[in-house]
Amino acid sequence: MQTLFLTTEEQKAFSAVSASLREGWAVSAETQTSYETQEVLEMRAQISPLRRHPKVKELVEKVQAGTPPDKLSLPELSEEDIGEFFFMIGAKGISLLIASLLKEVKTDDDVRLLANLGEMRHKLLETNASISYV
Amino acid sequence: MVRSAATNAGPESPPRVPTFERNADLRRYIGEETLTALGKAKNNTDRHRLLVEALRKEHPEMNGEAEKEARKILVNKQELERKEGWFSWIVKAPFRGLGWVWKKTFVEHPILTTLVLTVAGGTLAWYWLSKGAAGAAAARGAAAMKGFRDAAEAARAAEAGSALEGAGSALGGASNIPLEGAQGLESAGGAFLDPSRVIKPN
Repeated sequence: MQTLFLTTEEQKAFSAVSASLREGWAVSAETQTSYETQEVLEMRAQISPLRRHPKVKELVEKVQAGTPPDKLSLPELSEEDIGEFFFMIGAKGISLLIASLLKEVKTDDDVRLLANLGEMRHKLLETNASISYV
Repeated sequence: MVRSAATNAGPESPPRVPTFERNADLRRYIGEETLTALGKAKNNTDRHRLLVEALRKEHPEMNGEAEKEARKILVNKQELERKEGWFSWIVKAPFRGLGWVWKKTFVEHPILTTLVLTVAGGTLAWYWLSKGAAGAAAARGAAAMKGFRDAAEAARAAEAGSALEGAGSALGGASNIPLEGAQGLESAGGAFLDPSRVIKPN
């Protein structure tokens, strides 16, 4: 059985997902609390090499030009850049994605995605707790 | 000892410590002597005190800014080490590739793209245009930001239903996550586009 790391509130939302989609998944409580502070998120943005990525710059230019968000799409990125992205938005950003995704779960792949995002958040929280200099 | 190179203050401002993208550059900046002392420090308070002393020794003109700048160095160091830990896990992560996660998250669920762009994207546009700019450029930045937010609101009302609000309220209702998560990311969006504060890798 595979594990989904979800907070108490997220577990409530997940319980509304159809039983057939929930089948085969064990839910584990995400109880860690070491979410990123604003200071930390700012630092992550500053040290992210994504700021120089041509496709990201292009996206930002479209935003600047006033293109509405529903007409934009995020660029395809390498696995390393995707890793940079998720580190930059942190456990806090991934929580936003999970909360939104929980309202859209319709397929097994959606549940698998939820599990992957929960796993990534779990690891980020663990890492945040293990290294602290301030 | 903290090296004196690579501070980027204006002629009348106290020197500012740069931000480093790579641990090797940060370590070089801090210097071996201070690094060793930091490694032996008992706790975070001692680490901060050591760095403040090193900064004041190297940059007497920093005055009251040394404490703030020392904290910045420690946050920089902390986040570079956390990133190393994150990437060492990612390469052996027990799930499908990140490419799959990316595609599923942002290609197959456009609402999540809207969410990310609404939270961070609009702020990037505003920040880039208004940071360090005055008059017309700042006004353009503010207008772009307002337009983006208006568009996001329209998209939210027309297509996204309550998903975005749901994300916010879910965070607000969760026991561990403060609702200012979105604001934190917006602020990070600003930092993302401030090139004056980052030392690029060689």
